[in-house]
Amino acid sequence: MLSTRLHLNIFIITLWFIKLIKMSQDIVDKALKKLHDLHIPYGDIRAENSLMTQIRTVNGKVEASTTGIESGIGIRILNDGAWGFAYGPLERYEDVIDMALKANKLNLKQKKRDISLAEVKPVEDSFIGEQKRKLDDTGFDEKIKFTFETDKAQEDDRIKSRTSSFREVLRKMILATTEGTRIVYEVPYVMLFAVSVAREGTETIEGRCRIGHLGGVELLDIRSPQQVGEKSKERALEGLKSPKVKSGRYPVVLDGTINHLFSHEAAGHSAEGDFVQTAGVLRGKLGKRVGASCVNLIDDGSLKETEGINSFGYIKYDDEGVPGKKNYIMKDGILKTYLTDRSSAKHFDLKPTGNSRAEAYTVPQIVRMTNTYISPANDSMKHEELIEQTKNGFLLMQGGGGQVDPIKGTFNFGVAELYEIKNGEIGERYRPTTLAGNTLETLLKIVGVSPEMGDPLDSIGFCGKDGQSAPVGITAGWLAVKNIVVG
Amino acid sequence: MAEYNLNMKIQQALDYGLQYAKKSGADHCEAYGLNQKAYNLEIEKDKPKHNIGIQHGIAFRVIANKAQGFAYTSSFENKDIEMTVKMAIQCAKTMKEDPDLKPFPKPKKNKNKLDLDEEFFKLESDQAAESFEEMLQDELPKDLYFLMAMGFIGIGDSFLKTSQGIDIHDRDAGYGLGVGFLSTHGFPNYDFHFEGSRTWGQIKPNQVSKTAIEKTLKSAKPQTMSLAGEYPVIITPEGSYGLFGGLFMILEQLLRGDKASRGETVYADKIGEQIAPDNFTLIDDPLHPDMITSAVYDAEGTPTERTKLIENGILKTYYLDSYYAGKLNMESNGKSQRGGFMGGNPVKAPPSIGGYAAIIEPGDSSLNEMLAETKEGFMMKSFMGIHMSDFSSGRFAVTGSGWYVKDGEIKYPVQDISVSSTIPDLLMNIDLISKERTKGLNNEVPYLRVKELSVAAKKLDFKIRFGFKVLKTLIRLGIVKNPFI
Repeated sequence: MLSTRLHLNIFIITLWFIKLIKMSQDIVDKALKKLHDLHIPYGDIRAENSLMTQIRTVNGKVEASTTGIESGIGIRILNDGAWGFAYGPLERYEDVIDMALKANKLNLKQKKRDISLAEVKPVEDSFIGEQKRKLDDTGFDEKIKFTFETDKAQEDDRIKSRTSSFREVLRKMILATTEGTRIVYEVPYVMLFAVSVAREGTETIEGRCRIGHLGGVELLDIRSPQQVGEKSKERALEGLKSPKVKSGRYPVVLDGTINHLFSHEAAGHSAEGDFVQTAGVLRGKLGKRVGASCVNLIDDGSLKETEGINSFGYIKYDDEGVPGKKNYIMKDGILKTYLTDRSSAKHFDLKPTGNSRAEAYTVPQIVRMTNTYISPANDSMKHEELIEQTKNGFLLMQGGGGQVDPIKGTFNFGVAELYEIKNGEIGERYRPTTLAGNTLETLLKIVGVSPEMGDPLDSIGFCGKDGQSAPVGITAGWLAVKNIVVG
Repeated sequence: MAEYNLNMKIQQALDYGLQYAKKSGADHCEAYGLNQKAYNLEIEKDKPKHNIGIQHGIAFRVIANKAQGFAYTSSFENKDIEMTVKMAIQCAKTMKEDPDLKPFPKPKKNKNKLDLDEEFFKLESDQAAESFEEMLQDELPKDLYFLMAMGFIGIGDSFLKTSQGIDIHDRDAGYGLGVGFLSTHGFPNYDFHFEGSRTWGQIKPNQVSKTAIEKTLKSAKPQTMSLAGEYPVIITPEGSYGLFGGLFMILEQLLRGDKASRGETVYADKIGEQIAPDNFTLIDDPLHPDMITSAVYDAEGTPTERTKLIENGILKTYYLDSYYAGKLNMESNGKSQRGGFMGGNPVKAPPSIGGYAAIIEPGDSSLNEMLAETKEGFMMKSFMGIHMSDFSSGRFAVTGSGWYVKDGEIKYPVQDISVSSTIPDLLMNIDLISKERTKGLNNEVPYLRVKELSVAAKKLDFKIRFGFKVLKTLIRLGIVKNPFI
């Protein structure tokens, strides 16, 4: 009975959502007309309706169950070589245009040079992210069950606290520009997180596991909630009994998730065109050697799936209507391009790479990565060969977030699993820790890349920049690095 | 007038939602509404990126079948309100009964007041940008360049109404200004200075700029070092509570009442125990007159209070809201919050626990005395990787920058210094606390010296250092353009 009621409500929410989409289309048309009437040379409009559901279970009890719909409009104009961006509720689009004009006036007063945009062909298209098991066909009770199953799998006498979170987001957006681009998106994301806290005596340690994809609830058919819970528990319990690593500089092998972390955090952020215009270690280095010859750094917004698993960072179009692409940022160690939006592409005389993204209608588009990794080179080595070649050092597995300072070129990553490499073989496990290094130095110290692409579910993340968050991926092959600071 | 009408509309929407919740079977309902305007000011080198926005919405938290549910919407139409309340009730009904769940708090008398500067509500965008312009200096010392300037002005009305009788209209405003400079004297380095206030005109833009320049010059020409071992480390106020997060962000997590009630923190069941030296006192002060995070009511309508969390080294209490206070047989100390200031849209998430403004009481050493006591060590001002720490044990391994201290003197700025320990060990190892304190956006804290911390660092490779020296020479000779500016 409960389940029927829930499905009925989901149906009503869906109808409500359809009503909002219709309203958004009308408002986008009116706003576009107003921009044309005002003779604004360029304007883009993003109307958004997002449905978000989150369920958090702690120690077998649902602690938070939230859902909601948010709607709004973000309008950006380019007038007399300066931007003007504003946001607000859909129905107040006229106020939003007025505010964008005011913001443009402020920017005009302080501009030092004109901003202009690289040419792109206007696009009329739509994109609906495929859901094999639709979010709105899955009852709330079933979603709660996912968190219970995740929770149950974490049970152990030594696990003192178990948190399991299910999160789904369905973004329905319209992007329309005064140049004639009009794209309708429907992008679903599903995520499942587990955090297990193990305690024995005075020792406390956290284990975490997170999976997600761009798609529907079929995510949990590919990787079950039990597997997520078990992995989180295993990391906490193994961490509890493992010794601490002595801080120092060691030769290392990084698994596919840390390949992604390094490629994204250290190398990728330093190559973001909007940032490079201001500062950064890759400034002025286009066409120059910045990495070892085995380094092929790729950002691929068009990477829809790997072995049947949808990429978290896939975009059919970016938020300026440029198609997502496979871009070689570095090829054979040479810096080939920066990642660009239309204005930084024009500034550097590069092609737009399709990396302009905005977290929501409340923020302007900025240059963001998508699926970023160092791909295998011609002389790739198998995992075993990388371990053998490293002889003595550490194998670092399962990245746990990272941070970079692209001006100084320094980075720091979390590592959930750490194994000693002794005489070319994998040995004892150590407690989770971090690794730190310098981007340029590390790029030059990569001595091998393995050809095996890892499981994309292992490396989903939300990249933070300028207060905005963007879904990114992806895991790739292993990397061997001459040395890096661990612990 | 338009804002007034909108505020009326929001209040009517909340009232309608409360009535509808009752009619639809909710035992209790809490309704929250927001009407907010923000000026976000930013210039990145030569690109002004100012923007303006308005945001409003409503959210309902209900108790039904002895469980809680939450839903939000940005629409004020009755049909949409009904749907939102239904969704919240549905969320609650899918949950198991929670024996610990009590009704939302009842109204309490609150004598506390915070001054509100109505000037913010009259501001035009031009005026907002004028103060910003004053930060942009034309003449800068050699090898120093403007990097970016940022500012925000936030004004808003929020409303909280509950079926228990709470009816609060909170009108709040504040602003912040900051600027950063890049030094290319040696390896590129930069620093920022940011100030916030609840009084329009209180921040002196010129002074913000001057301070940022001074800070950048002090950090100029950083060096890298190769070492590993235990060293004394002085943590600056920015290092413990920085604008983008400091080490004590981990401590705040460890002191959360929800984590304590679940045994998720190393400080669970440690109330009354010595967890820091005798002269260490940590206070959360939401009533501070000039912090932009100050508030007289928390997110549940409980009057906020100045709370001593750690007093003379003894753990006194946790950050508590009404629910977790109940679970721990304690009283709420008004630490329920909604995301908002630097934390996203407050409408979209139910209240959760957090601190408002961290105050650490001053000690009896001067900074000079702290340095004099340091034979060889570091003074650290910023850290990366804090969010990857273990928020249960307090274990951290972060990379930061600061200064190398030798024989009681600051020798030179350093970067790429990795520091690792646990917060419990760090706290117990604090041996000196400075008299000097610095006021940040939501904190006022002294310098803290930790007797011993594990430090590891690696000097940049010779090849990179040599390449850099060659580049600097070519720039000086005018053969190549300086790529850093």
